[in-house]
Amino acid sequence: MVRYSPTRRHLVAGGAALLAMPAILRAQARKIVVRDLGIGTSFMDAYGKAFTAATGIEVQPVTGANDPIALIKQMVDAKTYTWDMSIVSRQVANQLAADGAGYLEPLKIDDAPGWKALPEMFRSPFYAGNDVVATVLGYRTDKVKTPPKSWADFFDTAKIPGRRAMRRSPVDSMEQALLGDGVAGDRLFPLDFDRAYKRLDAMKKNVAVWWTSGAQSTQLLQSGEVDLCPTWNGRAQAAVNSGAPVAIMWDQALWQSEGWAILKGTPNADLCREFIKFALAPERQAIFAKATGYGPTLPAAINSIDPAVAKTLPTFPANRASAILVDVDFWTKNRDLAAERFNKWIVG
Amino acid sequence: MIAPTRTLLLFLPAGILLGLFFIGPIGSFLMQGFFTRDGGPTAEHLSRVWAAGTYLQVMAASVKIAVWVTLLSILAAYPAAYVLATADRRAKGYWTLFILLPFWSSFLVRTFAWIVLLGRQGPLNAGLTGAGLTEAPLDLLYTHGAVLIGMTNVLVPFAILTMVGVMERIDRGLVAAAGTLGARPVQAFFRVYLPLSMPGVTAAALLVFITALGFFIAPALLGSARETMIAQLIIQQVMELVNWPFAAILCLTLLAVALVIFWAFDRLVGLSTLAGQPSGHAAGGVMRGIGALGIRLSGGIGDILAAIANRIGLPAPLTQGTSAPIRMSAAVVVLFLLVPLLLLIPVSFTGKTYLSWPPVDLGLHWYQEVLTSPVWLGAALRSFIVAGLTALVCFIVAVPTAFAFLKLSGRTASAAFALMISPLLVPRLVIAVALFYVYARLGLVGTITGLVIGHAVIALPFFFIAVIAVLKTYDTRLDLAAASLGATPWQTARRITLPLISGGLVSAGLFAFVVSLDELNIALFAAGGLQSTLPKLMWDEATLRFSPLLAAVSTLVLIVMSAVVLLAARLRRI
Repeated sequence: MVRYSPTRRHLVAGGAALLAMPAILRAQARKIVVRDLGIGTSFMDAYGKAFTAATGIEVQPVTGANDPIALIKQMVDAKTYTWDMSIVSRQVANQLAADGAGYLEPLKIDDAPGWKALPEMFRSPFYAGNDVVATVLGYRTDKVKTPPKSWADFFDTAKIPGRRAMRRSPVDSMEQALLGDGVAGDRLFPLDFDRAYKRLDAMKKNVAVWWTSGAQSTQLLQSGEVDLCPTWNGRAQAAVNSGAPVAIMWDQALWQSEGWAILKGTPNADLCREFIKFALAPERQAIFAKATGYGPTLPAAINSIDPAVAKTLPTFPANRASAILVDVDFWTKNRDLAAERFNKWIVG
Repeated sequence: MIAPTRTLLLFLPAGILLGLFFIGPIGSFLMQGFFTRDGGPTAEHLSRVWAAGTYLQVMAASVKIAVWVTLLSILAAYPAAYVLATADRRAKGYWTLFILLPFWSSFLVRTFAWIVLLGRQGPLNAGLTGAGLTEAPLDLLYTHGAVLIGMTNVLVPFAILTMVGVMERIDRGLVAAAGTLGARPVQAFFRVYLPLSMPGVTAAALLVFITALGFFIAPALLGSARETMIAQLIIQQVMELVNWPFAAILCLTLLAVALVIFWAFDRLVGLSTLAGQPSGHAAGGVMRGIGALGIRLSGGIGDILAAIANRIGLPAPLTQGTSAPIRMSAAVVVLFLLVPLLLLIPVSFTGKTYLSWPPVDLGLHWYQEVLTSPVWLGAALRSFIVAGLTALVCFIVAVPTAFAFLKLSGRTASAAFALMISPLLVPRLVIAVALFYVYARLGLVGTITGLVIGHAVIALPFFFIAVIAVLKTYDTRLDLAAASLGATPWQTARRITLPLISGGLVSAGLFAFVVSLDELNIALFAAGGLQSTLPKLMWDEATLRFSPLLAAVSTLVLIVMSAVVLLAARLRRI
């Protein structure tokens, strides 16, 4: 069972003294500040502590729940590196790298064994994938008697009755609506928004809750507030791990990856490169995957994980059979207008 | 008399703080809305707001929610404020304690408590189905009603404290006189007391309305998609879509609406009533008509109710005091304020890893986790230090300004007042984002100093309003007497003025302290997540884990603050 205990991570963060410490002073110490996902102590357990032990470079984690795109732009624009590097989604990494003169440092770690072992789909010149997040359907086994086998099942309220929730965002909802309408996984992108909204129009009255944060989706499933809720697999897994009667539908899982990126211009860029090289190791990724439920990007990692845990991860062979990789560049291009249209639709 | 230059000098601290850390940064943030990336002027973002329609629809929905919350808050706050203002010294201590308790606790925690309370598996639904009143659980959560309840719950204490200041100064002899002249209590209330308390009511309404307009967490967590508020869309533009020029225009839309309300308020009752003074400068024309109409309406209602009472032969009580029904309704309000906090006490002992009802496998697990965590203890200590320093900065900045403000009149006074409370009008998230750039230049990102300055800007309006209310009742002839006996202005301030108004300054300081203690945005957006405060940790906990740890923290804060308030009450009695 995953215990999301913040104690140990906090011990390290607690080392940051009560008093003010200007960012300028930090650059002189061998220390990097890394924004992580904040899932318990997973980041420090898998990477931070071992890296410090191996190199003497201190790692300070900073928690942040959402994609920190605005904060990173702020820091780079103002050349104030509160953070040196960050875990970001591939979509955010691509967007930051492509924006203006670019907001990310080129990684240039081509010789590292970890980089070479990383599948093409998980890397770019500015980004090294760390984990796979799958958007899956979590459902209450005490209420849903027929296990859903596709997004079409989720949208079929006659076949599978029950209260439903969805994510309050065009990302994920659009894909789910199209798959629910019978679009094949390999023909999903570019997304046909008109068709997706047509499907959602018919579905709207059946969606009791539109969730906004991952923790909220976990709570909806745990407490039984809803019976079916699409969410990130780690979030659904947290509900399972807490003992709630919840199961995960792995069919047509929507894949996105998250990984390492360095803020452009940080004086600690080279230390960050050392860190990323160190982190791209199967045994480290295995620890992270076990703690978070998110799948390792290095193919070798899944083999070193206890099968009971491995089968709860997105990259487990059975779970990835019908998985669909989300086209993040499509979203980078369309996000702004898609958000506007979604807002209009949802408040209407 | 204070010379004009001296008056200006007294405005200097506030001018520096607000100029450097509010008007400057906010101004340049908002200006982005009118320029393209290359610096050329554009109306593109402005026309998008009109063209898309959604934004104005959401703005209208936000105003509607804010109006409802304001009405509910005033209705709930009035009896509680009345009881608080008229209670004797001892009872007052207890009422203050109960009303202040929710004030000390995080609004975030209370919002989460409502999720548990109103949920399908929550205690309310369990009670309803258990009692056989309903067959299936009701959809209480994710509704318009849930948003109104959650927001009202947070804002009622602000309304109460604003009203009490005015009600305490109403001469109760006037009500007694009305009784002597034959008015029934209900008539005396509507004809005498209510009109006299109106400045407090309108001031509270304005404060609640403006604050409610900027809410984003409660509607997101308690409401359905229809309850989307404009601040949520602004935050989405700032954080997720990173379209700051457009966010600036949305912000300006919000500001424009707030300013229209402000203007109407000023015309109707005068801005200075915010500080608890009956309308000074006259409103003209239509607005005065509305005001007069209101007073006549109130009198009419009183007469009608009195007539009904006479018809059904209710005996008119001879003594003037707080009647049982009023105390009862005040008690109901206090209960409503306390319910989310009380609910969290049992939840904090649960052995489950998530917030749920009913609590099972009771134990001290979550308390152990908090009390052995250097991060939580460090954040608590840091939050208290920052809150204390914030109150101090507010004191240094706002007290001289308040003295100077009282010498002003007319338009200058209105302008000065608007300036001092202007931070109230801008969503805190926008203040925090704009402050980041100033902090980056000054090396204040992720520092205690940065937190204190940001919190001081946000707490200043609350502090200022409270201080003005006190100073208005202060007899300035005492200063003149001291001066005529040869005291220097400094001596007068230190030995005469400050000791006399110290009680009021303490409450103003508490106001600032509380606002700082519950402030999330500065730590989140202007500190880059470094130097975590208590609300920042609670936010992380709530958005990442949603565990009973929140309930344990909330209960601990409740215990500490009750002890502090009780101690303060005891000290005051001695």
